Amino acid sequence: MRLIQDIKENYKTLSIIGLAKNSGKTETLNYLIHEAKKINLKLGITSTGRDGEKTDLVTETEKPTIYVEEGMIIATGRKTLYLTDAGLEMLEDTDIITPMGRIMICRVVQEGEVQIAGPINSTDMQKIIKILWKYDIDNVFIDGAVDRKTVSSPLITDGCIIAAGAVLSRDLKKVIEKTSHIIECYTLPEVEDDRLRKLLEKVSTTAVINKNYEFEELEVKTGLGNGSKIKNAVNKDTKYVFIDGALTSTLLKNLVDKDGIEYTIILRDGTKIFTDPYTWNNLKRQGMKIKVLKKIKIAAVTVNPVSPYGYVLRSEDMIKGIKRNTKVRVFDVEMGGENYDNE
Amino acid sequence: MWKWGEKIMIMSKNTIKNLDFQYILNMIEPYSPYGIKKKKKIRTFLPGEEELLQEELNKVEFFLRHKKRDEMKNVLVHFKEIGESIEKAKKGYVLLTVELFEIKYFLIQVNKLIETIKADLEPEKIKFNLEDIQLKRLPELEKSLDPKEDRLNTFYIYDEYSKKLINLRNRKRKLKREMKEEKEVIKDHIKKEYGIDLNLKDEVVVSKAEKDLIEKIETGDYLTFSSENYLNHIYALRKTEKILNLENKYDELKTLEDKEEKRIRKNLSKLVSEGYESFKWNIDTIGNIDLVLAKSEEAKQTESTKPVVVKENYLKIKNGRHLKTEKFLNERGNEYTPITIDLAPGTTCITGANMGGKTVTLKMIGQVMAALSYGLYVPCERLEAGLRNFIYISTGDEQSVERGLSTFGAEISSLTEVLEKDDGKGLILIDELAGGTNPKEGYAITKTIIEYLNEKDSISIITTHFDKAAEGEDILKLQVSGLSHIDENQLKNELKLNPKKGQEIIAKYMDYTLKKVEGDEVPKDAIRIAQLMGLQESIINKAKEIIDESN
Repeated sequence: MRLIQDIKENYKTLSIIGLAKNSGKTETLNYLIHEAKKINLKLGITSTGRDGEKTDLVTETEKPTIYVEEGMIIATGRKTLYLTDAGLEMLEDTDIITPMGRIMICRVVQEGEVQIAGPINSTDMQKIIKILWKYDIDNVFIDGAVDRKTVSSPLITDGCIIAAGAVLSRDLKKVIEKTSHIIECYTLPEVEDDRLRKLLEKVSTTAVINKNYEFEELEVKTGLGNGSKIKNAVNKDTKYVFIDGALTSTLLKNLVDKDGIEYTIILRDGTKIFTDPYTWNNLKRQGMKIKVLKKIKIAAVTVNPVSPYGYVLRSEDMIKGIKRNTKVRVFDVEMGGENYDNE
Repeated sequence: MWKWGEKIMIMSKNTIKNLDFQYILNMIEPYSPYGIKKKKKIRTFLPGEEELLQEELNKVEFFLRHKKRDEMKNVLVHFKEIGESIEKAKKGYVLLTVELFEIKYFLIQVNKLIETIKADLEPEKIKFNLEDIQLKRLPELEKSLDPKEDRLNTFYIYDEYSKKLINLRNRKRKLKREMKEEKEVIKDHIKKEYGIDLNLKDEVVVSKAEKDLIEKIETGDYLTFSSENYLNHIYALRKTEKILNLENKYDELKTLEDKEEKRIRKNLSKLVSEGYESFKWNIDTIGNIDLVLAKSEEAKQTESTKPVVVKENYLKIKNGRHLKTEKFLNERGNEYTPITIDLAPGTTCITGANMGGKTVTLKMIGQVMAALSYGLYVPCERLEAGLRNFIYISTGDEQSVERGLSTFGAEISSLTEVLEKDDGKGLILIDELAGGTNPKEGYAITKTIIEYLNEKDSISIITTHFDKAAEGEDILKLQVSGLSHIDENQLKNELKLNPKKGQEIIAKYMDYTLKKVEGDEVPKDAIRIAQLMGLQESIINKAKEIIDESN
């Protein structure tokens, strides 16, 4: 099945996220828009914060604008409308304020390039998605982000597409390792223990849960740097440790260090993991068990083998490497997308 | 008129704070950006402006009783700021599509507001200038912004605006199609000959290792070298003469289309500019309607009533409430006792039990009278009063740290200022004057000021513990009813059961109402309350002895 078909059926809302700047996120979005047109899919599109600028403010490298097709509905900040090349019919003025002005809802009446800057927090994003659905569309795409504190878009969409770029490292092996690690984290198994799920509804912070399902909340704002505190609360009866916040390498080492204790670490979701792949894999071999409350579905991974810093990796090597470690669909948009299949 | 620095205000910031009047102001919440702006510049009414105030109050009443007030709020909340666009048009700038859209939306909302107001309006019953709430329609502009006549909120430089536009757009579409078709033909050739697909940018990435393919491509007609990196060559589709021609034509058409769109936007902007005065009127009027509606909402929420404005110099409050205190008590399950008080020019003294709510009563009077000055309904069953030029309260606990003054210093300093500026139409509220200094001098100062203010036309109320300070035939003396009527045994029993809740229990039995006192006897119940609160018996007895001795 072609990716767009899969998206049409299984991802009513989809976010496209890049693992770093210039990892090919916008190219991926343009590719999907093009694919959607082929099967007459009506799209609603927005982004988290300002995105789709001509030049990337950080590296000053060129970044393509989004090419939108007739009939699509977009939600974007008022100021971006001064600059569009596409013909946009104004449909609705929302009350959602962003640094780029109030979010306006527009229908594309003449195809062309646009810049899209959507809501900057999750609540507003959910409101916008709701508004977009009013306009008789089939799917919503969000030019998203996870690295920003404001909106972690994969958490509010049915799934995501990850754009991985050579920009991650000059070393092919590291690019593959980092990408595979993130995919693994996002798709960690969900908690199946219903009793635990129910219990965690009552828990509002990091907590230790024993086999009788009694919990002890720990006075830690985030898991960050509080490894020893959590460790002291753990004993042979501990069944779960719930970390409400970021899971770092140090914290993880602290937690798994204790010998002879068999418990599972529970996180809200995989975007809260900030460990290096080395520590992670090491501890996995030692028997670490981690589960999440919400698993993030990954529809595909796209690779961009060209780094803005002037080096290039072999596209097929990136694709092969990531595929070997994960089960997701991987392809290179610049190489011709799904038509280019090296297998 | 009362000037605090540069600003003409009826109260100082300190008085607003001490009266908790901000609490009332915060409850006035306009719905539109225009109303919010109006609230920032909310006016007060001064003596001589009774008719104007009456009109304002009539407006509040009109909106309070309006059957469609909820609908009205819903319309107002959708107004967006368009002032900038209007000014731009006025200066001759061409407005953007998004700005014209906002103007169209504004006009639609204006029409809705007109209809909503009209739905419950009987002109013969209106007791204010109807023009004040009448919005202006701009039918010509409305029509121009709706070329499809579909009466929708949406906007674009639609094809319907000009034949030229339709023509240009159709030709553009046709060219685009032709370009695509031409490219498809070439792409087919490429696919057939080299077995490769082009990406979205009409490019193809070829590995340098594929020497044969590169050779073939470089000698072929369909692709042209674009760039390379150390792994790949990147080739782009070679544009044929035909494609280049089509592209040039397309660009030309695009330029013409932009020009035509701009011409249309310019015409529309001109219409906007011609309606400038009406827009300004509407923006101003919407702001006024919104503010009055917000005032009526505040009146509704606080169960306030329409005051009776008189030109004479007196005030009569029936069952007045201090809103913040009332809320505070209600939240704790206690009840607030409304206070009735009539005041005339000169000094009125309030004496009475500690914990008898004297301070709150002062604040209540100030709050009610401030609400009147702001053209609001007032939190009492009935108010009949003349307007004030200024309102002043001294609560004796203001410390001006920045001016290096103590409580007493700050109290006297602000009072000096007030006495200096007193023009005879003020409301002066003083709580325990000189309470923080030695009793002998405090008494002397208090007594003098009571007498001084009694000669003036302003209405002054002073609470005091100095029993002889209020002496004098023509000084009105009020007293908190206090604990005099209650069953002391019952109170004592209750206190015994809950020794830590003394304050609450006393508050429950306290009669906060005021009564007139004839003669000069001031109740001495500080010792009684101290006793009820559980102060050591030995101390109470000793204190009683001292009092007996001094008598």
